[in-house]
Amino acid sequence: MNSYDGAVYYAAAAGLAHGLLPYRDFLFLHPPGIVVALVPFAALGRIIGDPYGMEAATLAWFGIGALNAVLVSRILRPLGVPAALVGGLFYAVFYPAVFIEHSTLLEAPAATLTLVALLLLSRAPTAAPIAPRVVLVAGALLGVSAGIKIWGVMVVVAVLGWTWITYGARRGLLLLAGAGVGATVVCLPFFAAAPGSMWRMVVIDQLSRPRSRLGLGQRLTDMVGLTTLDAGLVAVAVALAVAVAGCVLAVRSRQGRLAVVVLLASGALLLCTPPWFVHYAGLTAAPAAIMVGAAAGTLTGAARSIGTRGLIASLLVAGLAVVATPMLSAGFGRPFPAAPIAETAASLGGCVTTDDPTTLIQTNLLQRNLQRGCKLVVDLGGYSYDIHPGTVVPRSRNRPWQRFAIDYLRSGSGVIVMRFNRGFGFSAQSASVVRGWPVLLRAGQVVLRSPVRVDRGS
Amino acid sequence: MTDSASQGSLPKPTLATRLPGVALAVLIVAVAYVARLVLWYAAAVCAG
Repeated sequence: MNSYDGAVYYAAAAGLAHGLLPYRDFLFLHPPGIVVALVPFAALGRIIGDPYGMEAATLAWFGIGALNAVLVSRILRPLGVPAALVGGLFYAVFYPAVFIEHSTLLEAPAATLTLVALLLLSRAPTAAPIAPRVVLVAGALLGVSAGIKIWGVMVVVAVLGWTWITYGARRGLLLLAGAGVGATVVCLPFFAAAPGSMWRMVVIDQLSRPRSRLGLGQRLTDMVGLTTLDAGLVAVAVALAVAVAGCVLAVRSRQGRLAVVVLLASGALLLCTPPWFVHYAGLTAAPAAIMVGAAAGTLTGAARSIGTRGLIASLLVAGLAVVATPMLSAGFGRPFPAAPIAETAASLGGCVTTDDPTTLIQTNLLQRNLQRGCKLVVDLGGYSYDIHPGTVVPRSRNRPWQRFAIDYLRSGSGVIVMRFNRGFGFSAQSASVVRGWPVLLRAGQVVLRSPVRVDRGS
Repeated sequence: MTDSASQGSLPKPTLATRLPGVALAVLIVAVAYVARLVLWYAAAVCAG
């Protein structure tokens, strides 16, 4: 098992493949782009089974990662082979980039669209004005990207500023118009079906999420790719100093300036956003890689003697090895005993409920639930932001959500609770209610229960 | 001279001139794909 969020998006796509619309028929806290992107895999999952549909999507996401690395390299190619090589390899092994592309997270396709837009804008000839259609298409790509992850709006603002300064106001307005068209194409069908719900879930609920207890230090650690190492703040400070030096070197090229503008805007957003998860750092991975490649290009271009070039090449190789180290020391996730659970659940009538859609996907019970008309809940925890928006009360003390969660879980003939327990998500009473439901199967740490009528959690 | 006319006068890239770029792309694709596969595999086999 890899990623809760990735499973949420796949389950939402499976819902859409069955005719259920996010916002109108089930809660979904992101723009709809990722649901649309995963629909082909969910449709495949209807034929070959969701475990395989999910695996196909995961393999495709690896491919998106490889494509993104090549796009970084392609953007940097005009600055020379060393810049293209360093930037592409940096992105290939940079932990925040690898993390967002090792499971079906929405940051990966959003990064692809952003990179194609940056490629279009930065490859235009310097002597002639950039073609209007190129700016329009780049804007549209950025708009679609924001239709996958709403933070893409900040990237649009940053690129708009760069385009305005580099190519003038008319091109800037064209970029903005393109972004509007792109975002509209992705969002309008869903917005038309449930305008109030979509606005509330995607904007209001997200903005009113409580601020994470993970402070500036953890955010910076994740952004510089040191998540998996117990490296300490000194290492983070060194990495930041290298990044600042890289920015100074990178701004000498057009590609580098564009990357630095996007990097600074994205980085500022990441430091301000209320919640924090490690995959958020993926937003800065692509511009960081372009910045690093551009800086490498400046360095190698300035070297005059063979000895200096050799020294710089050695430093760059050593630097890439250091960048790859956190990736190799990562270890997370847990095996999921799908077969015995699916076997036991096969005889159950009705619906199987869960606090983590991974269970339904891996047991192929998601399709059965959808065929039986069961309520689709892809993100049970997310309801806490929608039921009681703006609250600073932790989920475990959010009484309306506790009631909702227990009522939903109890609606199943079988229930698998994997994510929440006493103190984390559940109140003591809710945890007690769940523990009181008879056990049908215990497989490792996973328990399949059959809910019975007991007192409500609170 | 139009854009297409000016492009027509440019020498067509040969396989030999494209080869370094293709090799670079292949190397980057291989490293990126394997890195994501390794992380996914680590996540799948490490007991939580």
